Amino acid sequence: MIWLAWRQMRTQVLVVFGVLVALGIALALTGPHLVHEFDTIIKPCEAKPNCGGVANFSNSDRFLQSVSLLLLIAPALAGMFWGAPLVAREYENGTYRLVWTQSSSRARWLAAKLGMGALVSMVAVGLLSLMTTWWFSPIDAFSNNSLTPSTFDRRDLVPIAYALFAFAFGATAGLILRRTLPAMAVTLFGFIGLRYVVEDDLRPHFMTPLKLTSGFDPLEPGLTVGGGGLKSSDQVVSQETVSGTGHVLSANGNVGPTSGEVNVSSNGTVTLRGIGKCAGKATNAPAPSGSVSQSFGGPGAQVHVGNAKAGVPSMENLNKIVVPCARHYHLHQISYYQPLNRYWPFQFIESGIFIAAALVLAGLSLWLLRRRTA
Amino acid sequence: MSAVIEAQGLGKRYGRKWALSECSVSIPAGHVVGLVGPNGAGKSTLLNLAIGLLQPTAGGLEVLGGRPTDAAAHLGRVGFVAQDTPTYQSLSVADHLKMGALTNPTWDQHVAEGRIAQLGLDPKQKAGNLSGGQRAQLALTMAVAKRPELLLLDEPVASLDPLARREFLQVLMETVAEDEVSVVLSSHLMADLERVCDYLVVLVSSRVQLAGPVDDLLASHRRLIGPRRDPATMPGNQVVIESSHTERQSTFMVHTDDPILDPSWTVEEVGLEDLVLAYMGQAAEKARQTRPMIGLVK
Repeated sequence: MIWLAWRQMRTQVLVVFGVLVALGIALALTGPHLVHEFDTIIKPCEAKPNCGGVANFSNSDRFLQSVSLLLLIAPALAGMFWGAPLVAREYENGTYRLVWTQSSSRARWLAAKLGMGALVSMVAVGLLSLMTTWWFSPIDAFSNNSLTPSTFDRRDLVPIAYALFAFAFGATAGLILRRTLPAMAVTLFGFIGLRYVVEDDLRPHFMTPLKLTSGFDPLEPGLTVGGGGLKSSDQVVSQETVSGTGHVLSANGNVGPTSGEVNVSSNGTVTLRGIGKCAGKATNAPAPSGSVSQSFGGPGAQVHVGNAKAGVPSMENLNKIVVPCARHYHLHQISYYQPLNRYWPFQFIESGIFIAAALVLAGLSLWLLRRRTA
Repeated sequence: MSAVIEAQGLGKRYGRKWALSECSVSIPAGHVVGLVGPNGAGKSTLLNLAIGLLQPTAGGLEVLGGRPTDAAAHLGRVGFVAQDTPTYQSLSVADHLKMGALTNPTWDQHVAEGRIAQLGLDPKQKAGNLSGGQRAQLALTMAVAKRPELLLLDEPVASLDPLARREFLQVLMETVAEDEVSVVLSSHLMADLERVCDYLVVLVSSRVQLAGPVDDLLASHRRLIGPRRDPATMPGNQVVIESSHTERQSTFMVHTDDPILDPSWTVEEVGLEDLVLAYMGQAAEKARQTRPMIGLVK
């Protein structure tokens, strides 16, 4: 049965691994150059106290950038093109009646096919992930953002777990629907669905987020705990702006008239929503052109005026009132975040979730097959 | 005589529709059994249940004295040639034989290769490139090479041209003669079965309408042609299966174990095809009568 499972996938597997080898060669040729640039340009610069010179470090080669995109969709491809037809095509071509009437149990047949497909999917996506992770390592070291979803999803272990899950999902969908095309569509949406749920709802809470309280106004350092503000590598889960009495002014870092936290009445009185009036009156000044905003305190905290329009106080004018006002009411910001040193635990947890889901699906498909036949 | 297939009140339902219901049939060993019936009679369902591709919804079924399972001990004893004789298109003939060898403990590679050579098939050829007849032969080879006690064939020749059909049945007959294997062959075409079967089971709407050795069936049925007569006045030992009348003349097909003595009848022997058609017609007639007649409501 293992031989048959292999024989049925052989051609596709050889083609896929041929493509992976070609890709590997392309990456191997360009990767060292990237490492060299990192070592000779970025590192010496970062060693200096004020390195403002390098704003961005990335590779603009479209082909090589698309490798990262390929890794994003590769698990879905494994699920759609290896998982979905695994059983569905046997139904469509009627060959299940040939193979299930040889003297080998159907459970064993399915186990062999699932095992072979899972192995091949994981090895293929694993190789792609390994190559991508290696190639992007200098860029990742520079951007220091491994917990950002678009990076986290395409490095190291998680793509392999995604591939296993997508494959198992496709196989189960094919077994239930008995038709390849609908099974492929369901697989795509099922895979995207679980990815969304895990990424948006579960991953931020894999471990209890750390809490950081920082002054809304940098002039009030006493509110800052945990030694300084957020680092660029920290993955923010949620932020809120709170007054000294605990009133939540904003469920994010925004404080401004556009989002409604700052109200300016027609006579120029400025109020912080639900907190109180500010001293002084806003006056209409000539509107500056374009959009303006200014940051206070931690990342994300902004007093912004949006598009300056006639009748709306200009930013300089409003800031003169809002900044002392914020200090008066002891506005501060509470941030919940995941620090970079949780990267590996998160990789293991996320992989574990997808592997567990894949195992459940494999069990389900074996049970369904058992129930369907004698 | 033991039964190779013994069904009691067997039923299989798909959603709300019963593909087979209340089917009780006993198919004896040592025969080439033709399972005949119109499309939708439940022939395929019965055979698929017998090989365990389907799980029965109701009733009991024993094949070779045991419940069909996917245990090697059971599947190894039953060869199955599925409807439309499916094969793996991208796999070669030799690959198919290898698959058979790896999955069947009782596989006889010598037999398999011998048959392929005899059929003139190239082992390297992909099954997708075989003709319908060759594909059917490959499927038969795979079923036979596992040395089964019972060979089930589900409409194996339905999609073949007449020549390929004759060749297939020829090979099947040779196999039966060599291996002393019990065979159950389903078809809705009598002409195929007439050539190979020595036992007949007629299935209409899940019910067995007629079952018995072909020779006995032929010996116990006669066609009577004579002056017009009401079927109700026929003697008790002559059961009318089918009747047709012209103004002066009546034609009956009767089942009787006694000789026909009435000199007013012209007595003819009955062909197998006519016999089966008569029983199918009778079943269809009964079904019509039990249905309410919508026209009378007016």
